[in-house]
Amino acid sequence: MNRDRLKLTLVTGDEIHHQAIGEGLSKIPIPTAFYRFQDCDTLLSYLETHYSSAYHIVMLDMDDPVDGGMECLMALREIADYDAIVIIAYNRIVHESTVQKIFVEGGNIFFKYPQSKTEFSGLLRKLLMINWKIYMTGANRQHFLLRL
Amino acid sequence: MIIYLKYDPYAVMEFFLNDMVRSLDIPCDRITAFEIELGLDADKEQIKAISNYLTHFGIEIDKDHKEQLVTQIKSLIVQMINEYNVENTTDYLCSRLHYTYRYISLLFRKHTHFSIESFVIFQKVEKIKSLAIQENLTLTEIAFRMNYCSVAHASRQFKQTTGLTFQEFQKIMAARRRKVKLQN
Repeated sequence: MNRDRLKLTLVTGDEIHHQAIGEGLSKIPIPTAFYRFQDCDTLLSYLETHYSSAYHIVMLDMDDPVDGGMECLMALREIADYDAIVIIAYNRIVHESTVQKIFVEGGNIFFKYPQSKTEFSGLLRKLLMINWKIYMTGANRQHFLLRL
Repeated sequence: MIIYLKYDPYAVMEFFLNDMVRSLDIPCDRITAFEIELGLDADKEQIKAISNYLTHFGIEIDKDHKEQLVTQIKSLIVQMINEYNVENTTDYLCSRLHYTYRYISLLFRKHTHFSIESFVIFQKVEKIKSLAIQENLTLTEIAFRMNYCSVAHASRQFKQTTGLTFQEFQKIMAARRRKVKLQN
């Protein structure tokens, strides 16, 4: 089983988030391959040529001013081939209507970006652990909803 | 005409393996769906005979026993939940696998990075979701069917695992269905 790994792709223009996730991942025992794209277009072009059946998680920064996270979420969910991708969306400020929309549009996980590094590490650990469970059990990803 | 079959795959497998060792005339101490415990005097020829026999049915002797055991633990838990079995997980697994719970739980954690207990809760919540979506049951009906001690317990477990209440989950799934209907 150790040969298995999760593929985590972050879409954000924010360098701090990129670093925080990279650091957080190094402390988690779940085997993960980590990629980062500055915007949604680059992600979509990458997926067009590199998408495989590997367990793929896409993490979207909903506050990204350059490329709206919601548009990216909708663009990903328009492509049926990517139905199995688990989409994690995060915001710094929570608006209930946005959270609702994220889930209805096909997002699987929503979390509020925490203030502290320690809190973020714990959250990342929880996120990967639950994805690892889904992966290991082959549970239905379309019914997979989680709010942290 | 189609006839639908209902059976216990583990019992069928045990029957098949018992039949095999009888026909090969190989003495063995214990047989389960995934294991054959041969006597102390078992030799290589007997193992080869078993291997050859099983190959005809697409079954192999698994050399990585621990990985196999983890797969067994997972499928037994899923089976236990799907059958709405109320047995204690510890007794359920130990009686079927013939190992101590300490061994099973350490092995499971080492291979999967999570505990058996959290896996059971996770699978139960998956079952709640599928009953809600596929059979359109209310949480009260689901809690009763799954032998929860109370609806409040099922509701708490759902919320703790998903971060959403059962009603919020249903609302989102209903909105998704409406959206798909509109698109079609």
